[in-house]
Amino acid sequence: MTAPVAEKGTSLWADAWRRLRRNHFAIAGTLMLGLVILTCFMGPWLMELLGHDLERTYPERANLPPSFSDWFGTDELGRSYLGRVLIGGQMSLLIGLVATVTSVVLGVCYGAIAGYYGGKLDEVLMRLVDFLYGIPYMFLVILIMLMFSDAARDSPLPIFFALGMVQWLTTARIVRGQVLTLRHQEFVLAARVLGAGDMRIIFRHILPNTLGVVVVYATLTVPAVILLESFLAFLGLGAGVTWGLLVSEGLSVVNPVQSYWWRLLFPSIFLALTLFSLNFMGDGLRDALDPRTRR
Amino acid sequence: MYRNLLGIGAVFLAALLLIGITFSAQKELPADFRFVNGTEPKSLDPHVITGQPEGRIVDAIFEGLTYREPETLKPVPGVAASWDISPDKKTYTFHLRPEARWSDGVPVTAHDFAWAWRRLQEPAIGSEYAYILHVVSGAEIFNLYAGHVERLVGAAENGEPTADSVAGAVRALRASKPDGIEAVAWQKFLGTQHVNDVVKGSPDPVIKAAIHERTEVLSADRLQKIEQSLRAEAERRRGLHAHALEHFGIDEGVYAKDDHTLVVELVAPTPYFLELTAFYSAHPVPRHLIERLEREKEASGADMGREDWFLPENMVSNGPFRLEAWRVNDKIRLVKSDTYWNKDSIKLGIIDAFPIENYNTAMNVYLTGGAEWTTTYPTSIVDALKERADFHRNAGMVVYYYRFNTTRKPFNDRRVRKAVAMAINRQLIVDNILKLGQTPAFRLTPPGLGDYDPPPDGIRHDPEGARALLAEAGYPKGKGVPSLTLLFNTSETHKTIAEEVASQLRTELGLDVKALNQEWQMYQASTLALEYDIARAGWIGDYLDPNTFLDMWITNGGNNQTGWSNAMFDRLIAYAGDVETFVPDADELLPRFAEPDRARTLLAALAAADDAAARVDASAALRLHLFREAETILFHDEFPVMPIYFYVVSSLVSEKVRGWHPNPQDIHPLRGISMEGR
Repeated sequence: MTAPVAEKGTSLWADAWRRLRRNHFAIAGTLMLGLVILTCFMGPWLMELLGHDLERTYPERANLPPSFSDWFGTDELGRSYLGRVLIGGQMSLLIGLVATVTSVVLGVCYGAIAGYYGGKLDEVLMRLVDFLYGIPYMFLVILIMLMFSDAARDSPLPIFFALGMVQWLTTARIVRGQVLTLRHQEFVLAARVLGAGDMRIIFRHILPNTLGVVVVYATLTVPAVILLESFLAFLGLGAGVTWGLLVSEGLSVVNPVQSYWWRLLFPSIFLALTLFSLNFMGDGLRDALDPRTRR
Repeated sequence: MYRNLLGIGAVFLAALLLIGITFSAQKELPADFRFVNGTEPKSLDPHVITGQPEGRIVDAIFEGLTYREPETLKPVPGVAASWDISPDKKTYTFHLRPEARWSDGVPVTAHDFAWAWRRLQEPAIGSEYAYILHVVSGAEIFNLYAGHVERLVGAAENGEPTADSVAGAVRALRASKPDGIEAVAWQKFLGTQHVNDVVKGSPDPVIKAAIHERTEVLSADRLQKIEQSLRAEAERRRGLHAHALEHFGIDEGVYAKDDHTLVVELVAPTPYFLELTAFYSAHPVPRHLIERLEREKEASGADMGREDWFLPENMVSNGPFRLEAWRVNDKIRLVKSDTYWNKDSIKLGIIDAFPIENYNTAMNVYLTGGAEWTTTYPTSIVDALKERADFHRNAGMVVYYYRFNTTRKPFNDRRVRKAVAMAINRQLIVDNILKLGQTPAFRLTPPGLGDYDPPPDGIRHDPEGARALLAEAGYPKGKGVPSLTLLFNTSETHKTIAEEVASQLRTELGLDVKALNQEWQMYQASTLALEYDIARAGWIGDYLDPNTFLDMWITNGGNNQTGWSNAMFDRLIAYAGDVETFVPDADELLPRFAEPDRARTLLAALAAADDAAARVDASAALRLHLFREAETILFHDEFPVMPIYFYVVSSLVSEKVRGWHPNPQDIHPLRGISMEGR
């Protein structure tokens, strides 16, 4: 199915890149994502450089609507809401990235081993995955979060770990499926004949051929993780300041009597933009890397 | 084709009709008055409950000897039509109304009260408010002494203390330290063993001296003497408890002279005792019902909990309303009781209480006319609410403060505690975050506690002075202070204030402070175990007396939770409990008073009082001064806690409601409420 070498002498990746370029949504998504990342990580630094103390509170300027001096308005303690949204973005993006990397590394290794060795080992490993699938993931996440002592709960480490732990299952299944089809192909046989060990075959020969699928899946996992974290923030289990937390707080100050709409609007826009961008990017990558959709 | 459609249509119509009939049959009568009660009551047993949502319901369905007059909250005759007070103010004789009835028609008698007050003190009931009636003679003995004996010598019958008991631990200490033990280590031992609570009130000089030993090494001989004294104290308490078991609530402390005469004997004159008789812990409970249910339970062997008696199908009560229905997460419905002795004064027929926790939901229900009263609303909208005519607010008898963990660096140094207390800009917090006109607090007792004249503020907002004090303590510009956590329980307001305080301490003192949120249960466990640096707390006065705000700071007091201990403070609180004991010790203590002249004047007045009534008045004034001295210790130098502000209590009440009166205790008896035009 996969074509390691195309007749025209272009590699799979060059081919994919050519197709990706033609997908305007994917390109726009990628650019937008780059912009969001740049803003989130450079913005606060620039603001501090310009003399804003982002952590200092100014209660006398609480809940001011957007203006020239405070583009996104201020929060309940008079902190610049632009700064809050950007700092929240750093944490949200970091959670998306780290939890995805955790889940991909874990899932790829697990799936590759299960698929490559097959037999009893495969049975045991995959039944374990089925079992973990059966547990409601929310329950699992909350359990993992509570296992950490309170002192650690303010740091993002538990949530990285907890989200990674529930996301790797699907990766493991996908990779196992890929490896199952790849392990009987001629190039694997050739490698074995040349005396390569199991580990070398798995990591040097089989896994690079699953990379396309994994990349696509990882791109789609990042928004899922960010969204999951937002959901946790709504339950009061979030990690520090994230978009999820800001949206959840923003929602609580919107009501029929007096609303601070900017506190809901801006983090929501950033969250939605990021999720859309990542999804368009993931879709584009899938189309580009899957030879069957070749136009 | 058409016939088919017609058939379907007919079936559909019939179904609709059926649904309509079903639902119209279930339709309840509309309530006269509906309010948002904040949360689901944990229980409706007057002896078990502690919270406001429970209190609102229980105060409506039960009535004590007295009840709070809705406007002034002063106790007025309830089940008791009148009462006599002995000249020494230690014996109260209540004359009960013969016409008072339970909702099943059974008369309410003095026996019900005696039995209920004994039940409140039953250790098995586990009432957290049992202490509030410890002013009744024998109540504390009945409630706690069995536990003390077990703590002192263990449960063993042969008289030998077990290893996990205090006496056993002292014995082990003596064996492991033949050369004696340093005073500091000894005090730590007393703390970890929770000794002070279980020997409180002991007349034994050996124990008294040991508790207050802070300088000398305790030799092995002395430890042996202490162990013997502890065992003797256990025996003394065992005897007292056996006596109380036989007599408390039967013919001593509180007892029925006849069906309609209740006698209450107090340990010492208690100015706020009549207020206590209106408090829900002192309400009677239907003995005939509870005992019948327990008998049935025994006979059937069914697994029925103690709490079952207050469910709507069983509940029998004696107040102006009775419990009609309790649907969890929907509502509690109260209806006017036909058997209440004063039912003509009750205006409302049906009341609904909604257990709505979400602030936005509560306000939406109120704004759309689904409820006539809500105490909760989103805090972000106070600016808009202040403009509304149906928004009521007034100063509350509640204080918001932070505890310091005085057992840890850097707050083991009182100068650091004082510096932090001085650095906080409270005015900024109340003006910009709370915005309801709260008062910045520099002490714990809110204004308006009867005749109590609180001491002048010992500090003011002074960042300059705070920095100097911090430097004096060895932390110039906050250098050398470890990173600190500021613990608060989950709440939007607590979070905002905690972040603001953390930010102020960072800017003003250079301290690295992080706000840390914990759920209520976990937060309580952390503060109890002293696993925090600074922790948020609030205290609602249970009665109009400084005692309710000050007696918790005694060494190892249950609500102290700061590790703070001050012998002089402990003694002042003990003397205030019984002023007569202060008189002989006055000469020794006066030099250590902040205002000795004032105390001398009051002492002279007490000595000059010639009749019993004048003596009671003079000792009441002296008692209040002892509290003033105690509070001076807290908030001029020591600062085991840092008060932030005195609450403002607020509610949204529909303009159609009559008889809802703002008051500092935030108590609004449902019995006084009526609706315009009904």
